Amino acid sequence: MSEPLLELVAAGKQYGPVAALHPFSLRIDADRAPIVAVAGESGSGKTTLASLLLGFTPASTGTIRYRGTDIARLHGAARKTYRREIQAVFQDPFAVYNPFYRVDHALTEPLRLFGLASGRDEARAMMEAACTRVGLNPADTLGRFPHQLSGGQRQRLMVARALLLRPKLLIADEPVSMIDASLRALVLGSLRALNTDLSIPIIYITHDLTTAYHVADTIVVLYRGTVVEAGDAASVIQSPLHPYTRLLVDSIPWPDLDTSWGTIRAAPAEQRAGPGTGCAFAGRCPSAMPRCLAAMPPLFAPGPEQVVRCLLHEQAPVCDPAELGARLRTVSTVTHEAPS
Amino acid sequence: MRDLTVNYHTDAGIVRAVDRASFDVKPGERLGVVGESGSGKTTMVLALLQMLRPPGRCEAGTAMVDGIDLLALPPAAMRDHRLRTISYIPQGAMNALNPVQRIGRQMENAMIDHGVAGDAAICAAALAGVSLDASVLRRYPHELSGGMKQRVCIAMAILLGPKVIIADEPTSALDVVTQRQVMQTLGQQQDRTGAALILIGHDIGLMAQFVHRLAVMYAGAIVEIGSIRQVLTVPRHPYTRALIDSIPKLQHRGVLGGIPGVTPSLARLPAGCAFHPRCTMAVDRCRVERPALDGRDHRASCHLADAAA
Repeated sequence: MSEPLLELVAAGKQYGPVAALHPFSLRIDADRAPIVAVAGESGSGKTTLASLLLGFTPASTGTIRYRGTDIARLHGAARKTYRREIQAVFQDPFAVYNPFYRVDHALTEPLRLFGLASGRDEARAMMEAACTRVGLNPADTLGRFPHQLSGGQRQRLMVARALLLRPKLLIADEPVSMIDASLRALVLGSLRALNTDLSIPIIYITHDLTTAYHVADTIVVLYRGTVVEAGDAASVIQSPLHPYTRLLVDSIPWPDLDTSWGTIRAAPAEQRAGPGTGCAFAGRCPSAMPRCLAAMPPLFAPGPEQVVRCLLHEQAPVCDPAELGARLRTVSTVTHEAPS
Repeated sequence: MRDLTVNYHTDAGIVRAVDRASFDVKPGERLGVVGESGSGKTTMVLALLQMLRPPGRCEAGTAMVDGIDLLALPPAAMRDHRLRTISYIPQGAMNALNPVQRIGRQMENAMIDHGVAGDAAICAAALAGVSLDASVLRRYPHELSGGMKQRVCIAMAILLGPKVIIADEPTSALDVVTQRQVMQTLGQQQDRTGAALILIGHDIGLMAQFVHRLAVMYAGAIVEIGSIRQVLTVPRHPYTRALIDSIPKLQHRGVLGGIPGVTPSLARLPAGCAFHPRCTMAVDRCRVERPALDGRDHRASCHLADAAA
């Protein structure tokens, strides 16, 4: 078995009395290059997870290991390498550019900071190659100002920027949520191409299950800081097991006139669980039982490809949280249908 | 609404933001308007409400509601019709609530501003209509969740029983579950009052699940309009077809078609059909002659509309 590229072992984040992210485990292997979607609504802990992975904030519990080393212990050159090898694409493709500079600036700066190009010509060649790789024509893109590009083009250029640094892992935090629906496909397409052509694993953080379903191999559903369900993307969307995932999937407005929308009744999000113990979703859950509030249910594994934190599945074997990372790794890579 | 035209008078010249847009919407009906950012959908409804700001100017058009042409009204008279005849739920409406005023006071002020005495009982009834407790009247916006604030905005929009409700991306900042609950509330209130509803957005999935008819805007013009079933199942404009192909579906996993190219700048629209540089089917005629919006119930502006369908 190869050494994991990145491993979270029961990593959690506590802000004062608030648990933003309960201990969470995940492993990404360099040789498999999966796309793992982390899905959840505002306040689910998905951005906290991104901050932990990018080293913006230290974990309160557990450890995050990159190539076997705890990232909290990385210093100097090793930390700089980690910073270069784990790249991010953020939500807002408008705020990340300085409007006074041409977009090239966003590409030349990282090259300069990490000393990756030997000269101007090599830098230019690398930038052009990165643009082409994400489906942008360098002649139409480089030399322009941010306001001259569409949101989709700016976001693809951000993917190109990440690519320039020859990353080993890409963290995409809501990369398409601020882009028109018609342009999302192109950004997601370039992410997917990086993943398949260059074998770069991607952690795709989103609130949108439809795009997660289309690009990811594995989906992890977070609810108020806890993993409520995880598994193979097709299984999670086509046969969700947790009442929260079912509610999410049921609420997706599919562009299909014959799919009914919103048949499950559930309490609105303001209605929260009382004592703070037990299942975080119990206060809104249509199937809640009194004992759901007693203690946080463990993760059950009803099948090889899905785990769920819900007492409705308690007849299934319990999955040790520490094994979650390894279990998600064994989730089979889905094959995508060819265009019809 | 007939031939609504809006120009922006900029230093660089006159830019046409909305070009002769026309549609009908009946009482109780829901019309969706989709288009990319910058396609003119918000500008169109702002003109309809006489809420355009300079350099934007409504140059032509009529908008008849119950025999009154809203576009011909002087500003003071239009003010009395807003909220009473036509109301507007703007994009990010929930951020428009005054953070230092209780909800009840804001709702009563809205009534007073539009020529009616403030009445707490009417406000409480409107809140009940959107499944909010009357205690919300005494709360401040920061005490409410995003979904609750958006419900408050819907309650305000229906306070005076308008004939037409315009909702501009009312749920774009909400998660799917809350979005569904807010849209269902909006739909119930519209069904109850029999108002006509115009929903602006870019999510075709939401449109498929909510509206009866759909208009597609591109570069300031309505390029296709028809029943939601007609537009989604037999789109006549290549842009509509590309838009539909670009959204994820439950079937066909992993297949996403994008629309290559960029939305043209309104200041430099291509000759002929504005979509021709991005269109995979364009022929010579498309580059020189601008197509008209043709058809009876299901209209599209494409030279190849019938060949394509």
